[in-house]
Amino acid sequence: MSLISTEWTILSNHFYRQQELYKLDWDVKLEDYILSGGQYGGALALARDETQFVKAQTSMLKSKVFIYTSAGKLIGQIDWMEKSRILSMGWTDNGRLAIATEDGAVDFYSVLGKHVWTFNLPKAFMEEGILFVDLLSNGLIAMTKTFRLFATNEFGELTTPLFNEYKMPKIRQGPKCRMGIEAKFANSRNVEVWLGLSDGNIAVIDSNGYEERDVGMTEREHVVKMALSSNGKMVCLVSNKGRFVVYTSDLGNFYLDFQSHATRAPTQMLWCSSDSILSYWQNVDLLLMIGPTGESVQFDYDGKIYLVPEPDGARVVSATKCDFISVVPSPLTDIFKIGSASDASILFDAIQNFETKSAKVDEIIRSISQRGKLSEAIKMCIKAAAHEFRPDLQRKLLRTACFAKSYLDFFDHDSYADKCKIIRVLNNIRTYTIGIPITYPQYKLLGIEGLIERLLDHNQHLLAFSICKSLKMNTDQVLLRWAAEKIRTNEQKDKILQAILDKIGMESSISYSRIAAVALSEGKESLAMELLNYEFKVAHQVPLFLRMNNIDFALQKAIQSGQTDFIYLVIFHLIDSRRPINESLMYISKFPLSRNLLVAYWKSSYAFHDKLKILYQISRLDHEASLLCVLESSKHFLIQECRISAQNENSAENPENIDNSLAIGNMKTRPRHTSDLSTQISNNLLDSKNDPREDIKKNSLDLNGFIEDQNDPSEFNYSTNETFFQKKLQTLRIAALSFQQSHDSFMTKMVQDNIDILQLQKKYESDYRGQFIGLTITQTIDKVVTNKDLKEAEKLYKKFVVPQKKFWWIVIRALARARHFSLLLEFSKKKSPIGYEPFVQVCVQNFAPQEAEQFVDKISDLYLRGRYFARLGRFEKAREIAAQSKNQELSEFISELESKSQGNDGDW
Amino acid sequence: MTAPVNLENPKILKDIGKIREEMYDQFVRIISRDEGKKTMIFDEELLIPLSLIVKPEVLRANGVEKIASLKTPPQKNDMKIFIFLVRPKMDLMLQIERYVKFYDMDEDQNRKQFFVYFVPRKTEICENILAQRGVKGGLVIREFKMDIVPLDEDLLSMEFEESFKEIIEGDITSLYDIATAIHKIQRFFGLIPNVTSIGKNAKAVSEILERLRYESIIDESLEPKIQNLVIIDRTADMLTPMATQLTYEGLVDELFGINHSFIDLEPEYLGKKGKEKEKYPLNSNDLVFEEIRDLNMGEVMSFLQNKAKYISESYDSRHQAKTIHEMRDFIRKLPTLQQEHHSLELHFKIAEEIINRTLSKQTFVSRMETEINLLTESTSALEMIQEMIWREEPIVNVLRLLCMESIVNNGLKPKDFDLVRRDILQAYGYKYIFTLDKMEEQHMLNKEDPLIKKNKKKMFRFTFPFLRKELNLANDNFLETGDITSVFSGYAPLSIRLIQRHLERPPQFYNQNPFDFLKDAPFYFLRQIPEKKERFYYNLKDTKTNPERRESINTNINTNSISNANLSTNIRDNEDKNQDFDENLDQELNTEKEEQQKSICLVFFVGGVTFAEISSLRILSQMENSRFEYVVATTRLVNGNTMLNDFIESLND
Repeated sequence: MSLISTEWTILSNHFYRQQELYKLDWDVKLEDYILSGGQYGGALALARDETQFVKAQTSMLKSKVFIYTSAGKLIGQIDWMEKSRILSMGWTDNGRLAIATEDGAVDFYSVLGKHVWTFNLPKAFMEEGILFVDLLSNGLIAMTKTFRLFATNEFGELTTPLFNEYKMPKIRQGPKCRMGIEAKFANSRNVEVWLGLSDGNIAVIDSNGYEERDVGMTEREHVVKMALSSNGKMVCLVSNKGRFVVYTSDLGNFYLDFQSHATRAPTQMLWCSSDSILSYWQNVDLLLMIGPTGESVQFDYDGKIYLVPEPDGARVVSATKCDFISVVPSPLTDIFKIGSASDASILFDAIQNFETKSAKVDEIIRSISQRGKLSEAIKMCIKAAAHEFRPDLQRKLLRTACFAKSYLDFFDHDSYADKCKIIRVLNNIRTYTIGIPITYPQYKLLGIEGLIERLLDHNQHLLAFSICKSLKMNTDQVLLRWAAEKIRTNEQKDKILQAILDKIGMESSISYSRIAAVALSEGKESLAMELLNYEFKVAHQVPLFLRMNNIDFALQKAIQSGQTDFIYLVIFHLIDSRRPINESLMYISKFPLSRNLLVAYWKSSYAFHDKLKILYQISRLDHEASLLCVLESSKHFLIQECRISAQNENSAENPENIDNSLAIGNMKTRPRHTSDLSTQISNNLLDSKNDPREDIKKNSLDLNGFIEDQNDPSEFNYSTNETFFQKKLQTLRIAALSFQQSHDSFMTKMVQDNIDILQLQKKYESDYRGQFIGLTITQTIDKVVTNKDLKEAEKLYKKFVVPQKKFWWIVIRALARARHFSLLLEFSKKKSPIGYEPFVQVCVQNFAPQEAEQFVDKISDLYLRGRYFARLGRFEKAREIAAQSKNQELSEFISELESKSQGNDGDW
Repeated sequence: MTAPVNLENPKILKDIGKIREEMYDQFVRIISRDEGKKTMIFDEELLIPLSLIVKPEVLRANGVEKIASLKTPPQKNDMKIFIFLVRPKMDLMLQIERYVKFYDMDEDQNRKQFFVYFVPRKTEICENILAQRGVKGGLVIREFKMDIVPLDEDLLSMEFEESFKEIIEGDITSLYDIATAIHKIQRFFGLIPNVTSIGKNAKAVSEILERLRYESIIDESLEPKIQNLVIIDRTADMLTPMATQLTYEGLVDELFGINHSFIDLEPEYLGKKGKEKEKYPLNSNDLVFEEIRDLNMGEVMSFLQNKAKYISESYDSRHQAKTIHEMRDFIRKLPTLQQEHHSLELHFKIAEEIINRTLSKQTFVSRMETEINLLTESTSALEMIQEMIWREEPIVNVLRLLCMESIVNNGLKPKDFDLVRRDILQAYGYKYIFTLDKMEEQHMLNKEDPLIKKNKKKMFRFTFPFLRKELNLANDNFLETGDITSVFSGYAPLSIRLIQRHLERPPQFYNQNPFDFLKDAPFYFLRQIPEKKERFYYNLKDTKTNPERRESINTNINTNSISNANLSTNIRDNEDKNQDFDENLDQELNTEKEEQQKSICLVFFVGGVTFAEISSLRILSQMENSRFEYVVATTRLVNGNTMLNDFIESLND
């Protein structure tokens, strides 16, 4: 029978234990300090308690914040010489030390005392002064001296958090005490604040509102301390008369009223897990534990102590030792409780006896096994081992399990091995050198990744690495952190590089660009460059080269990667940078790929066309530049242009008026349209007053152009909107001019033709009925002919050099379709370059067989003439011709057709 | 919607169905991840490819209650979860913004959750845009790797609608996706030992592919099931898609349009009533179709008649069945027989319709004659082209013939060049300036090269007729020889002959164009050596021990990057290379002797492939003396019309 249970304290049927974790041989007088300890066996931060008087020679201490492990090893120091007074200290969820100071700043430090980042409280605190700041594990609550309350619940990393100001009624007197409840325990999902008011009530405030609750206190006996249990379900309130009241956390149910002998408020008070309360009176050196039913027990300490809350208990730090007070975990009570008759307990005892050569063990195990309880008992032993701190006891428990499991046919040996590994890991972490006294439940809460993260924060890379290896975890994170730490050392560049290469090598999946990024942020650019060489994902090198402002490499690598989005990344970086635009474009135009990408993107919206033209100019792409002008003459871009210029003019006065202005036509022509294009471009480049960079910066990723696609283009009509029509002509003229300058006579002519036909079409729209603008030349001629104006059609034919045959086709088709057969007949009197078959065809197609006959006569080839007659059903005429020409084939064709009796309306 | 092709018993590549299964699993994970009612908002382009992977029931079973297109304006609904499925295109990001802002303004306090799945991958730029528009914070951004979908037993497609259009506009984003898709195929079928690329975009793909091998880990110990990979660039052969396909499947595509392996049919074709067109899947599940898809249209009717005869005989065989055994035999055959019967009826109807629209139309027949004469004898088709313009035939028909004319005859005479272009602009409108310009840029429409004109004999090597002779592109006797020239009634697709030439006679050239005519189409040969790690170390040692080399990498990270250095170590010097070759040849000859088994060759068409080309490869696979069985992969299935549509700006004017 082990004596372990004799060390336990019993309180309301629960066992509690006070374990000594470490003896502390630090030379610290706790009376002079304020102390804040992190959860999960975290480090202890000590700062001078400025309410205490200090002897002159120790005033040096004032200037520092010390960080110790729980084992009393000094691991970090923060110089506090020039900083202002500390208001509050706390440890965040991810193991950072947060310190709020009187000047409204909140500083974050790593566990080794390295400054990480800082943010400032809202302005109100500067103006009105800070009444209090309380740090929570991932947020804070704070009040100004005029009683305005602020809270935040997300520190994040490197960004100033958002503060909520909570509305509350005016109070005359400051609160007697306060408590911030973490968002996870609050109904509103925001930090909840409780204030102990001077009239004895409690104010509960969150983002939804303010509420005062009566907790049975008065003005004379008011609440001075509050604490929430670690599961968030209970709350303990302490009065200035030393009375403890326990409620459920919604203040709905009352649980306990306990009057301490001290008759005054304790110095420190907290929950020891969720069922008992520890409170400490400094002046009488009293540490009292109050159980669920109001029983209490006293622990003895000499000198000042500090209580550090843990999820499953509390650490007690005194000048000489660090203890842990907690409920005894059930597997341990199960086995070691005096008089325990549980299977696990019997099993454990039996195997202890076996080691003293007793033979009864087999019998005992078999009897447990027969009851089918052996597996459970073994699991209980393993669990107990995990919960136990002392290695000798762990060993005994595990040996018990190991021995007994050989009696079982089926047992999950892996889980046993895994537990052993975890126990080993925990033991290693609890040693004096590491000094993190984490318990098994805490480990469960923190997770192995969290634990590794903590070790890395302590710079314990080797241990973290071994743990990863032993648990078969990915070591990337460890190696990365190690490499980052290595880079931060002052060693020579080559040595660092070699060390990293030796350790990480090439097989690992670690991205070297991430390591290089660290080197870069440490200002070691050349090292970063060398490291980047080992990054084998080319694309991943790009962002880093950009950060180094090494545009050449960035662009080359991006192009090499073939991943266009990285090329875009460089392109936009270049354009957004402070370089002159033409220099940026020069870079981009060096590679066709990057240039083409930018062109494809810029082309899509009119807003970018000015810049696109500069790019074309730089790349000497005259043809493309001219084509762009033609493109701009399309409705799509004209609409965009109108909107953009209207926007520019109207933005100040009346933004809704954009479309109106277009309709009225008060839109001014932009200067570049009137002047020579190329001079305009060069002006643009030289013009220092009108810095194009500003413009481009605004627009580089601004997608205004795309949005406008949603507008209905039909509301813009060339026929009814004169301004719009003129705009199109103007744009085309620029295009023609531009083609002329690049000596492209064909294109110049084509664009000119386009302008001419548009102007003619405008005229026709007033001369004839119907819409002309937008038709092709062929369609225009057709429509003119339909309007019986053959003369005008003739003019068009000559003006646009339409091929003669084609012209004839257009005319006869149009005439036949419009059923102007007399005109058709007249037209046929000229000598037809396409023969007369087409005349017949168009007539037949328009259901005018009689008119068609007139033209059959004009067909010179007798054979064909005969065939057509036959197909029109005029067999006698056809046969006449056949006889005339003595064409046998024709006769056959005719008889065949006749025999079918029905005209074939197939292909003509 | 009808079921996609059955891939349970593929003939050529086992496990081809696994590619689809993997995507199916991933998709189901996406939609079953969160409890509750969901709305899915699609980039329309993805809807049909997705239907090849999952059935609509699966969506409903996993709580997707509403499906919307990203293009339509958002509508009020009370669902909490919104899943977007989009291609990473910049303009689509604005649509997402619109949706998110719409639902964020909802009065009810319900928090909405937005998931954006990029297909097949997210891009930096799209995320940037979402961030800039201030909506990224409220989104969960993930990827759905639907990159390559099996359309048939021997056909994989990425179904990238705009890939070719983007490529000709200078945006080669899709090349990277192509490489990752091939890489994925390698994950299933092992590392492909021989890789060839034809054309510059294909070369870019093969380079990315080689780099991917170093960047992401795949199991290289897998026995390679595919021995050869040929990546061919569409721009290396723009001629073939312009020609009118004359196979059954090709003509169905040209006249009806096959979309993602489905055709839209009037209900009477399927023996149903109603007005709504129905989707019918065209793939090897349809046994009759499988037999006629690769036939020249001229043979289809007689084949169908024979088939009809066979089926009716088979039906009749039940009268002869005397024993129970024979009867049972017949009953076993019956379901297949009935299925074939139905499908036969359908294809009769379709074939009739095709013949009505083609072979019995004088205009079609004469256009075909012109086309074939042009391809096989370089007879000018200019007159025909002009006539077509005057008759105002659809512009794509005109452009197709014009493009062939220009390629086959090495450009048009300057006078004709201007004349035709002006004719087109006058007849169809000036907006086609851009189309003509882009075609010129892609060497599809050119002015005659004065050099060739001057010295015809000396410059013969630079002409298409040389290529025709060299690669045996023309064959009058196509029906008797069973040659691939049957797919175009006498012309063998250039692309296929290039592939064939390469596989049959491994090239003695690297990075060099064997045919002067093909301007941008160098052959690029790459051998993948399985020992990956050693090569990487080799490179490392190189940089470590050789200071000069390191210098050069540091100061001049030019085109000689780490990965490129790898490539160059691969291609050491001529001797090694030749030796490798001989070994390879010997090896291949040996395996042929030993196993008499055809090896599998994957052909990837970058920028699209026509059905006629796929048919050609099927015909090649079936030839007795062929050493290869071909599997085709592509970005998209095309024909001349769909390809030219990529050249036509969709600007309203």
